Amino acid sequence: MSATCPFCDSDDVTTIEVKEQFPVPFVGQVLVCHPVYRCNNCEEEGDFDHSLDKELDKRLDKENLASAPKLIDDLVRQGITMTFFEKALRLPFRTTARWKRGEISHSALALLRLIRFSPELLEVADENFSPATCRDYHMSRPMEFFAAHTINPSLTVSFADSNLAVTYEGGIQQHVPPKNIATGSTFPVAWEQAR
Amino acid sequence: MTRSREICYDLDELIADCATNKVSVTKQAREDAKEHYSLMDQAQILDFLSTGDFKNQDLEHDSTDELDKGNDAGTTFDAYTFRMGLKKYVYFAFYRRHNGIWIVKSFHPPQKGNWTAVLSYNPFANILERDKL
Repeated sequence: MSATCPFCDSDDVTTIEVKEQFPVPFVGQVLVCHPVYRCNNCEEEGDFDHSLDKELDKRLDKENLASAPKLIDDLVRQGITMTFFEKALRLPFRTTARWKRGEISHSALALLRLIRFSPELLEVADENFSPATCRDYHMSRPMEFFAAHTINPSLTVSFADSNLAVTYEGGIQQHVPPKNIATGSTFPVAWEQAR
Repeated sequence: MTRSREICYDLDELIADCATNKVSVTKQAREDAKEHYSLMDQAQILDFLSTGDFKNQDLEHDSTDELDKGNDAGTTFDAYTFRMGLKKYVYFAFYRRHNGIWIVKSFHPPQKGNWTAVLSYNPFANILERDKL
């Protein structure tokens, strides 16, 4: 198929194959080889006649939807059963089995990605998004950030004169193995007191 | 870029034409849109623009000027900024060629003005940098 360059009106256009990387969440970059038009006059490249990107988008959809089984496996490895997943989100049981077989919509994939990003959302959903569960969820986000990224993280909570103060602290000078952070942390005690 | 000139084009015409294959996106703008906004190709950029939603996202006229190089040197372009999502902003520039085809020439984070700091400020950058090792 010949196309005219929309940028300079030249007919000296050829089709070339390019290898391009596209991000797939929680999978990484996938390499896709796809055609593009190239203008030999102005050297612009692209889908000049709007015919090529449709096929590319189909391939990207396929790559993205194919990531669903990995996301489910990741959650299972974290100790989350798909029965709990379905219960917490009020989905019909065995829904995720269909997802894993490839029968998954874009909206379902979006939901799966959110849960893979923050599995604790399942606890919030399971508690019907109650204010107390939502508060715990939000308060625990910075705590987990400090636990994962700082040395000797600590949480201080004080309440005086009608003022509630929460302070997260942690060192960033040198690397400490994650297991030391977990066992040496003062988070759990302070957190329980805060609650 | 100064705001010395009035807006040249009707944005609604551009939005309407995004759905009719009368808009092309330069390679550079495509690459920027992919890198910064996860719009993977021209079709996705045009789909996004065709909704017109960005008009309601803090849209501001940035500048209107003439192209100083390339095949269309001398042609007037309009540039806007708008918000995408909660924190990201987009600098978006386009013009219309003599044959009626629209060209989106820029689609990247603002490099100056009020929204630049919003994009670059990350108080935890030093901590997170360690994760890349």
